[in-house]
Amino acid sequence: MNNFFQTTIIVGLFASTIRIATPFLFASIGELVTERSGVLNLGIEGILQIGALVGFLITFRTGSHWLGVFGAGFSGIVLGIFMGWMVTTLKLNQTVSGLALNLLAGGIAFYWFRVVFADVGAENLPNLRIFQTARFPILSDIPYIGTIFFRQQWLTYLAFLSVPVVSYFLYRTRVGLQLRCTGENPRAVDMKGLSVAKHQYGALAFGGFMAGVGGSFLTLASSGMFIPEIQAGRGWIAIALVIFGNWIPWRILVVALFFGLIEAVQLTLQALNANVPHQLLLALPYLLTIIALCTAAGRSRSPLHLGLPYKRE
Amino acid sequence: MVTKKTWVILLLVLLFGMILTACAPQVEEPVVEEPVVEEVPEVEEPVAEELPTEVRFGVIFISPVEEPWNTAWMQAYNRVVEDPPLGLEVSMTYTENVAPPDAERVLREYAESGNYDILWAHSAFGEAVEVLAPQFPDIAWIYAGSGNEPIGDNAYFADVFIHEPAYLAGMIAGSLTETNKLGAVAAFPFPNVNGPVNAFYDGAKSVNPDIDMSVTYIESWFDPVSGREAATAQIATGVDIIYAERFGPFEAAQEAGILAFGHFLDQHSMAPDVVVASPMALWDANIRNIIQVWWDYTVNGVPYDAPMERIIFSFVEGGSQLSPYHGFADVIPQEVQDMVEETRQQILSGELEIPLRTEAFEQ
Repeated sequence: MNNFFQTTIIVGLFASTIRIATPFLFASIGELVTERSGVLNLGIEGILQIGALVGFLITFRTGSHWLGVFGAGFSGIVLGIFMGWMVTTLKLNQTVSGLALNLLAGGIAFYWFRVVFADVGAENLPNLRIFQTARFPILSDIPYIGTIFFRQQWLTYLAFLSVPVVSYFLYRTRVGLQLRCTGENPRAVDMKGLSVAKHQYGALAFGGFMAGVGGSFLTLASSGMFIPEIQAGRGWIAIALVIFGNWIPWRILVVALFFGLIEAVQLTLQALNANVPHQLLLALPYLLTIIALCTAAGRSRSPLHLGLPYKRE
Repeated sequence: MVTKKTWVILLLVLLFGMILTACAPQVEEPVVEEPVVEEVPEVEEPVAEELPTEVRFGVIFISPVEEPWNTAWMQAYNRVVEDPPLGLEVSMTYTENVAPPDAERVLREYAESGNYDILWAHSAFGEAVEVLAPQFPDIAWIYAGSGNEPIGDNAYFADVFIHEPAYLAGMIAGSLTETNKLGAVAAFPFPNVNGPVNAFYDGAKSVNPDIDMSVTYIESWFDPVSGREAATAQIATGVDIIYAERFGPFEAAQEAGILAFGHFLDQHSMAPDVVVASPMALWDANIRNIIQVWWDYTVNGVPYDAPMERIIFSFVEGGSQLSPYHGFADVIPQEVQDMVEETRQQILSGELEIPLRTEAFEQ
């Protein structure tokens, strides 16, 4: 256990924390904006997978990573708008629509993958070189700090940048106020002569974009390969992180990093052969989410109209 | 207004349902070589007058074929097709990514079509096989993997273990390591997983008593992102060779400039600069065995009588092997290669027995 405090391990631990947190951050910040508009999008898991696939396919064909990221984001927008069509225009049940979106996305992803790469096996699984990590003059060479903060993926910086940007948007702009109001009291927005549907479509498109980009991080900045179900449940965790973060951007950043840290500690403890049951550590974030939900129930800042379709009477 | 809207919604639900159903069979329908249904009547009587000229496999995979477990099977199947037993023409149709609750339905469709002589399933589908096998007594059923019970009669239970080649791989790793720290990134503490991981450690320990090894279970069969982070965490603790039981560690190894071993099939092509060698599972013997069983039943009238234990072909019987070294033939010192070859011969001659330890890894 003494080894645990060696500097290389600690540095690796924190660098890993930030990497693990990145896809969650993308998806959670996007989902935050969506939920603030009063729509619960449970389809994040599916959008992550489509984003991972589209990003991979475009980059595999063109060789351009950024094109892949934008393609992934675009596919997320398409799915987000599809979700909007179901829940805003048709006013279908949001939970059911979200689950349907997941099933649809999972089916499409596997089918599409098999159409493009028919009859491949593990021995010739298509893979690509992932993004180069960022290098900053001087900063990247600072011992420890440089490795942790200044040698990450460019997408990671984008994810972290999205937190102040979204925070500014929600709390300091007129559209942000209208969006939050749509989630709290859509009738007021409607009475003002503003369109509830437009705000919700916009929020879903943004949430889809972020989840799509988050999905592309998995294939383009982490693993370099696509396999069906590569998102491995990350979309559900992202939704939990929004709740755990009490619908506040900064808090979501903190809980995403906290989740990444627990995951990284879990992996490091296993790597050190520590005598701690790793199953317990794996379960810890979920346990904490449940505890947070129970204790913070009274102080929850959940949008009042979350999950309810708005109908004019 | 209300009725119109109801109709629109109904129509959309219908449309959506149609899209879904239109998609579903594409995924689930066999994708490889549509079976040509010939108008030859099925051989019903145990003793046939004319000898069958072909044997038709229906295969149901629990995961996509990219899973090394499935790919290894496909490779073995292709070798059997190249060199068919009894002069038979071997054909196959498969369905991948079948969730266990769907297994009985998919297997029943295969069985009822009458187009298949042998149905190959995963051990997780054992319950479905148990229900269906008595209803289709002419089909030879086989389900493979750990974690189920033997059924008997026409339901054969097979498995594969690669601990012997993993032991040889461990000997190479134990000789090549500079930090004396090895790592393994594995799925779950599961018999098929633990067998090779423990043997890898035993092999390394046999040539290098100072070896330290850590095993990380990522608790997922398919999560290369976590696999990579797990490997990165091991590398930070000084690990310089990783046994990659799952996908993910190769990318971490490439980034850190360390070495890795593949698992279950020759994974050299996935990362030629880091994969030293891979213990390989060879399903060939099991495939040939079930063809023989089916032949004996169909031609000679020998009743199906599956053993009440798993059918496992050992290293000696050709159930597994260590892959070629490819580019690493020049990197691995000749004396290490000689030593591995000598050990291989000792295992083959029965002089040395590699214990199969399927409990979770413990240093």
